[in-house]
Amino acid sequence: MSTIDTNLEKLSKSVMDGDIDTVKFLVKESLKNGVNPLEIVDKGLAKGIRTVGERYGKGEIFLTELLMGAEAMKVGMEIISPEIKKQKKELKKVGSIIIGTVAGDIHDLGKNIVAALFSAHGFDVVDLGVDVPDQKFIDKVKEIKPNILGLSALMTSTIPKQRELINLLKSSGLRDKVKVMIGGAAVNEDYARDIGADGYAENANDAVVKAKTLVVSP
Amino acid sequence: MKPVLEFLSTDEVYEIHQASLEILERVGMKFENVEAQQILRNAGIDVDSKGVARFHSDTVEEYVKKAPRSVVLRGRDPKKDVFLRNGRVTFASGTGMYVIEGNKARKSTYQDCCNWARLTDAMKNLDFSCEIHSTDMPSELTDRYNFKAMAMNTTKPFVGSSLSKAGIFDEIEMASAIVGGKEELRKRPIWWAGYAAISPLTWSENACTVFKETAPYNIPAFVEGESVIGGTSAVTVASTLAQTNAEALSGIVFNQIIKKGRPCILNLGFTHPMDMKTCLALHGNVVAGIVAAAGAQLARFYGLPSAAWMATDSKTPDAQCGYEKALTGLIPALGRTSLVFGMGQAEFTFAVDFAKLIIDDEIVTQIRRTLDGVEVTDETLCLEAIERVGIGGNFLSPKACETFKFIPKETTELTIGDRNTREKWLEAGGKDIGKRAEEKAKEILATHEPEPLDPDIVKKLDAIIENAKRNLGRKA
Ligand code: B12
Repeated sequence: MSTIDTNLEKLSKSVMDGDIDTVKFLVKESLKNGVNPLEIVDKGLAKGIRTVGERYGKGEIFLTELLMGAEAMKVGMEIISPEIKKQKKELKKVGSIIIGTVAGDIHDLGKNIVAALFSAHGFDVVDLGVDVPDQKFIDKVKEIKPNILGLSALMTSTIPKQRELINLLKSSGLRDKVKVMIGGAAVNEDYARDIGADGYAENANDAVVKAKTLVVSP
Repeated sequence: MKPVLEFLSTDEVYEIHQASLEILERVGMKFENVEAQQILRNAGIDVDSKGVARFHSDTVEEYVKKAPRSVVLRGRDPKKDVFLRNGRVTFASGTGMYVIEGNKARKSTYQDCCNWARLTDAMKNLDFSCEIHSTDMPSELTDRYNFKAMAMNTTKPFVGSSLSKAGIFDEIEMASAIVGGKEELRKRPIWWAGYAAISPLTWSENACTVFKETAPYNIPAFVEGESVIGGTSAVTVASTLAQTNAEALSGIVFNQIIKKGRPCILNLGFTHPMDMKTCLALHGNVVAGIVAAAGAQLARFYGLPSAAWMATDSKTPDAQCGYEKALTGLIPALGRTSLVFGMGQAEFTFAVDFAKLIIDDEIVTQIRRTLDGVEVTDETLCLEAIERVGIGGNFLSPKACETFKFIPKETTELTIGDRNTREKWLEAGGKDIGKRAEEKAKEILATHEPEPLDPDIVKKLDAIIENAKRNLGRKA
């Protein structure tokens, strides 16, 4: 294996370990050695975060390890992105998501975890917070035109909002412009289908996996 | 001696108290409600432009002292009033939005909430009742429907939830209608208002409103620090205690400012240890019990009542359910937590199981016996009986008759558990406890009728709900 490959191998391992300092060092080192930035992303950072995601999905590691890995990935990307731009290359856009907890509901821990993981996976994330008025979701969808609208609701008294919002998207002529994903303790797959959402996920990792399929499919 | 389980030394209680004060001074507590911010400022507390209040230790200590040492939860029937005394442990049902039937769970309805209240009314070990959600009713009105269902079907004290400002006003009206007016409600506040801080370190708009609007009636305030351990508080028990205690203390300070002497309960026992892999907020974990028991110790330090949750993450009344319920019930109970919620609850806090309520009532029988501990007196030593029975005799003979009066107190009897021989068990159908409890629950529901609520009062409750419905229509 060449030193370049060894370094990239080490880089992906450092992402897995959430070792931010080593990630910074290795990204800079690889750039100095003239490695193509897209290759650094592909064989180093992205490979690392993918493995972390898989291991988390299998229940092998704690959420904190997943998030540390995500943070390390993010820090690495911050160094690399300007280089990619300089070379007039483009990193494939993963997608964009607007997320928020519906009106009347202030539960945000789950939504925040979901948002953090989306951002770690390279999505552009706009987090509208909690107790978000219906119209704000609609206005933001119009303004930002995201791929995905993520609606979190944890209470049986607030999940009807998810249905209402889907209807509101329809009447505003926006329904075919955005994929709607729903989540939160009080909802499930059946409910998602029933209200005509495009996707449901019971945890953050599944949410990202599902979102990626939604972004690809027209 | 009556056993008391302590997780903290005296010094450690003090250290956590001081850590909470440090958090309140250095980081502060955010109050989202503008009026609440002004109330705090008027009391001389420093509140910045973002609504973050920073408290000085002496302010916190001064106001917490104003909360009364004696708190009473009042029922529709005054005989069912629950006086929370130091060292006394009381029990309540759990809440939920699903009803478990066998291996399945379905959404709970208004009728379920009525039946649930009726079943809790019949449980001998259950001191007060906690609602389940009427999910078949208009979502903005579930709090009023839950309230009505509880008021009609139990004479024990009960606790509900308030989902909005309009909801609180309606609940105050409903409670007043039951006791005969607002003035009466002040004397017999039959309902209590609970709210949890949003960890870390925020009192929401709604929480401030609930505390404010219910204060004039001296309705007991159930003030909670309810973090998801590892998520909204650090993963260590010590830090979780320091933070949630800071949150709850600031809530008590706020309540004492708006109404000096308002009864308050300091609840650190509803924390949920997060499963650090699946992210689910757990309840059957012993860590929740440890936090509750240590939280009760802190509450005693302030002379205030405390709370906990006996819970399970299991989906059916199986072995996991049984052991988790017993552990998360016994640990806080031995820690002398004042209010232990959760009887009948399963699947995190999502669901209730009517059969499980019957089983939990029996678990509580055993817990209560444990709490009675060992009574050592001349009488209970029974030395004369030992001498009379002598070597090789037995204690069932009239020679030991003065000891017989202790039988009910010293032994435990089961009503649903099985202590028979295999033959007798088979004769009775060879059913497991889940099945037997299910039958018992059905039997009670078919026969138990709580003292009905006066039909005129029911009409008043209906009118309040109808009015709320109209307002809802108008808004839409
Ligand atoms: C912690 C908690 C709180 C905290 C919230 C703190 C915070 N910052 O969020 C506090 C104490 C403030 C709180 C308040 C209340 N709560 Co609360 N709360 C909970 C609790 C215990 C855990 C929620 C949680 O954080 N779980 C951990 C996170 C990580 O999981 P999650 O949110 O489900 O998110 C995951 C997935 O669902 C998914 N996901 C989430 N969002 C999204 C979005 C998308 C797009 C996708 C794809 C996926 C996805 O991914 C996440 C990560 O894996 C639940 C019960 C429970 N065990 O779940 C009750 C619960 C949700 N609360 C409940 C209630 C009733 C209330 C109150 C009304 C109580 C009161 N009167 O005080 C208030 C609500 C006020 C309001 N208007 O919203 C009820 C709801 C009952 C019902 N009828 O539906 C529950 C079920 C408890 C119960 N049985 O009573 N609560």
